[in-house]
Amino acid sequence: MEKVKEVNHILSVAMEAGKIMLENGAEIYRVEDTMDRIAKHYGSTDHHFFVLTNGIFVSGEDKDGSAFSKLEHIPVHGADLSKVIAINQLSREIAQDKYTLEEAASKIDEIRNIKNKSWLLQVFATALGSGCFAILLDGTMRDGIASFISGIALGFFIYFVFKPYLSKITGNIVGAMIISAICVLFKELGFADSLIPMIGGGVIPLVPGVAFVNGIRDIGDEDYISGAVRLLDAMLVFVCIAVGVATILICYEKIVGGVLL
Amino acid sequence: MSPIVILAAFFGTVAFAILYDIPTRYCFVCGISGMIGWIIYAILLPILGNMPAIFIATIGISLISRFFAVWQKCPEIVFLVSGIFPIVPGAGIYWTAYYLVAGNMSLAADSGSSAFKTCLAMVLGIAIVHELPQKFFSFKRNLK
Repeated sequence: MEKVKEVNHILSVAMEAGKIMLENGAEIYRVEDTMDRIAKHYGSTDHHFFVLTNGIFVSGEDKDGSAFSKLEHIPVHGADLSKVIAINQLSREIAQDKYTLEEAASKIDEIRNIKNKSWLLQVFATALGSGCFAILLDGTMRDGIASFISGIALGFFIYFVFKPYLSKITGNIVGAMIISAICVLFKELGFADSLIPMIGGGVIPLVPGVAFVNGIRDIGDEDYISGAVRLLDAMLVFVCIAVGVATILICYEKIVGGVLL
Repeated sequence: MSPIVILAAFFGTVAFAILYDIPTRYCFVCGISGMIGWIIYAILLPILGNMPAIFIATIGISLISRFFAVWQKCPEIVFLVSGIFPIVPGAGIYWTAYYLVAGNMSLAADSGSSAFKTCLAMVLGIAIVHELPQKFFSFKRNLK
């Protein structure tokens, strides 16, 4: 009986680590590898992990034949790469025999509760991203500044409305609309020169970089189901952004009669 | 290529590193990988055209990310995700939306498919470097 409990415990700890990695944007291969490393290190010999984009399946068997299995659903979440880095570091330290199983479990709990960067910094980063990418797309300095200001509005929207309340589709369409509307306003008031760099750079913070890159890498690792789901997710967001931009441009052209270039 | 644009590539990448909650000590390195990727792209664009330039720049970013990953002992995804951003086809999204609005479906399909092709070039670049065996990148450890 004692033995069964132990395998239970080992696999639960491994699963907890895998769960944190998966929901914060690690590749499938890395999640499976880390879970396997943790489980092996603490002495589980016969176990199988099956990881998808939004679920982990674990089963294990003890030497006396008693089985253990567990399934956990993992909602698609934001991307908090600091937690992926922390778990990765932890699994290295576990492999170097630094922690007992209980210590490892409490370490994982600590990592779960790492605080995100403050909202002020995130809003500023969104604005900085918008502004810099407007300049990268051949915008003038004035376009960059206008894009920076619309990026501030986008940052507030993402942090206070999109993340807590809205679904992916609505959030991205409305976000792209906010950016486009403010950029069009700047253009009309004469503060900026060209819409292309402003809007093209402004919407970049909405682009799903982690989903896109991970989708490719999952397919490269032959995790076709997860890779396809992630790429579909990324493509959907691209389309939503284009729809949001197009909506505002239609209004601009039809109602105000503005020239789009 | 003015220094302002290069600085913009650097700070833009750092901004995304912050948005993805990458720890502050890695942000500078992330910025470097984005900046180098952009420089490769900007140099090759007039010579080779869009797709090959994106492809080679993506390979460059992926290689740099793997070296940084071994050097800093952290997952390469950290450097890859933020480094790739400067060459994401943001203008392509704008043009597709613009031609849709203007009612010019053939040009909309054109710019949409060219944005899609850019994505494909990035896919190929990332996938190729991803297939290289790990020992190419951990040469330091082999020497010891």
